[in-house]
Amino acid sequence: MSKEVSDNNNNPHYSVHSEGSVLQLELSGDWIRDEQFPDKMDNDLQAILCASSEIHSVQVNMQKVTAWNSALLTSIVSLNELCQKHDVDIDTRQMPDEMIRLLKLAMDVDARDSRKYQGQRSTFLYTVGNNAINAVKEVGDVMAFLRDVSIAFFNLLRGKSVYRSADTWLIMQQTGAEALPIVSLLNFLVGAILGYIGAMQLEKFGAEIFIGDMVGVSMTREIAAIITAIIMAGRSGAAFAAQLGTMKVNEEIDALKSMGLSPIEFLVLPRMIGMMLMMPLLAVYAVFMGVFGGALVAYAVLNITLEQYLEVVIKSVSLNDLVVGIIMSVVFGSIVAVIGCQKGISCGKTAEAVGASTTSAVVTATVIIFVSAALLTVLFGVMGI
Amino acid sequence: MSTKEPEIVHKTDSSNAVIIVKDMSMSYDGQIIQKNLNFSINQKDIFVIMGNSGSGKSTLMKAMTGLNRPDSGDVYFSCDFYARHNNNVDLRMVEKNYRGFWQSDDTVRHKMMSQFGVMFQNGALFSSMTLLENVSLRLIETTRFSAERIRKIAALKLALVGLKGFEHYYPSEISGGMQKRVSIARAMAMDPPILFFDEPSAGLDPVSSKQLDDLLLELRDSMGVTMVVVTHELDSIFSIANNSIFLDHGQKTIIASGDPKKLVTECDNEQVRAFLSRGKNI
Repeated sequence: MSKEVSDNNNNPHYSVHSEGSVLQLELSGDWIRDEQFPDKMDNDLQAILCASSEIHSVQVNMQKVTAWNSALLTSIVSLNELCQKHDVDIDTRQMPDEMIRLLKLAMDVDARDSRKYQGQRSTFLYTVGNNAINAVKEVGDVMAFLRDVSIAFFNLLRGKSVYRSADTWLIMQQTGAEALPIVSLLNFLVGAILGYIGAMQLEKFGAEIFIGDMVGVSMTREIAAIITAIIMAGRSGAAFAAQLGTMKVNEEIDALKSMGLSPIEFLVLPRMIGMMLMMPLLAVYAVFMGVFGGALVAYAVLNITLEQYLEVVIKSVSLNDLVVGIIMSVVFGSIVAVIGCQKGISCGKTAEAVGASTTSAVVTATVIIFVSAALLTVLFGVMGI
Repeated sequence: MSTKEPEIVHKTDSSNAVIIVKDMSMSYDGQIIQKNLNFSINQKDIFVIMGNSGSGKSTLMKAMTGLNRPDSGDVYFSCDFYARHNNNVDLRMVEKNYRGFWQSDDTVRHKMMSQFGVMFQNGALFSSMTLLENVSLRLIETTRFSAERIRKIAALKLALVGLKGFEHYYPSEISGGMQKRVSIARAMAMDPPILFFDEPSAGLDPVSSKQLDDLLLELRDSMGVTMVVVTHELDSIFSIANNSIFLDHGQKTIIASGDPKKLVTECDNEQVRAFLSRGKNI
């Protein structure tokens, strides 16, 4: 039995010769060339050893090997394992001392059992069930978090909370003042879009003047609050999750707990209060920006003056509309703050987990904002507000 | 395959050094951290950079590994040594010639960096990857081995650091000591002739720390790699190092060099003796 693979450029070369019960593996050349590495050597040796029960010893001759690295060592390790499996001796006397030492080091370790999930494939039912369980668990986590926040808030009202008002001011600045440019731009554009689409439709009925009615009421009751809440979810909610998640990774939250301080009181309350205070203000400001966007379109497309437009807006928008908008903005602000903080506090301890928490905070908050907007709209409708 | 013949920037006639640091000065935010650093590291040395906290040990290591550019000076690598360990780049040089890392262009510097393995203080493992994926990443991106060969090499490296069977674990599922071992396996993935370690024993219990020291010695002896270790763990220093420098925070330069076992009794500098004898002289 004989097998030989070679070329003339000092590329890695191996030959296998069988003499009686001894299999001779001769290696030569430069074995650190990754492109020329003969992967098939492992398979050849396996095929020979499996095919012949007469071989009792494998002699490895590496005297003509000019250079080698771990790639060749992996083949020798495989050969060694193969020899153990077939109860064949391996003669390493003509191998470099360093390789023998490494081989011994690699083989000395008892292998840990392979991981249970290695190569595991989950079925459709398993995936659905697992996701359902996780969803229920997540709802439970949010409820537990709300309970803790409520208790912390109650403690704050009783003056028994570890609360840093300076943090609240900072959060108000970050979530309020620093958000004004993006809130202005987006609400102005939404107001303009509403006005433009409205103008196109109202023009058909000669009711152009009611563009102020449409933009004013829709922005005041819902749209301004929703748009602002979505901006806050993407901006501040994500920031809360990332900040608290990173603190979790750095064990800062554990440090707070070890000092007897409640992370909810110390970290979550300032963010919640800051957000809940700023959201109504931002929403009211957003209403003005939206109405202004509508006014611009009314003037540009329908030739309606600012005075005419504002007169209609003031007549059509009631105090109830403003109250509804403010209530919605407070609810949305609470949602963004609660979800952002909860995702951050329950984050895992890896960089990947921080990213996942941040994404989840934005997506979850956005979905809940729309669901609660729909419920509140129906509720206020039923109440006649 | 590079065809550009790199310039020879430094020559020595008798040195057995594989790394020479020459006239190096470093600063951070305008503050000088260390200046006029001159030392050399021989093949198969376990060379320890020691000093008090804030003396610039890690900054020096970053300058040597291409992460932070020094203000002046350079780190020179033996071209012969480099050529012998690099089959992909035609940089066969005259023996005993050295090439300046920071003087080289980006392409050559990048190729020179492929000759280092670096283990960072906290392991710096990629949390979204399994241990096998962590170790095999560089092999996948920079070699042309088959996928199966890369898997085998990565598994072998994990076995060499005592983590056979942990291939499909994630970093968060193993202990800090094991993470350090994986980080060593990842640093060794490309069979680099030079390994850098930043505080390898930091945060480990004495037993794990001893095991890690034994592992470094075994890897040095079996793989013949040169190791540069930043540490101030005295047990580690005395058990692994055969050469060292001591960086002083006050004078902002090297105040002692040599075998730490000799420095502890023979060094002229009282501060170094105090450091190496756990402050007994203070």
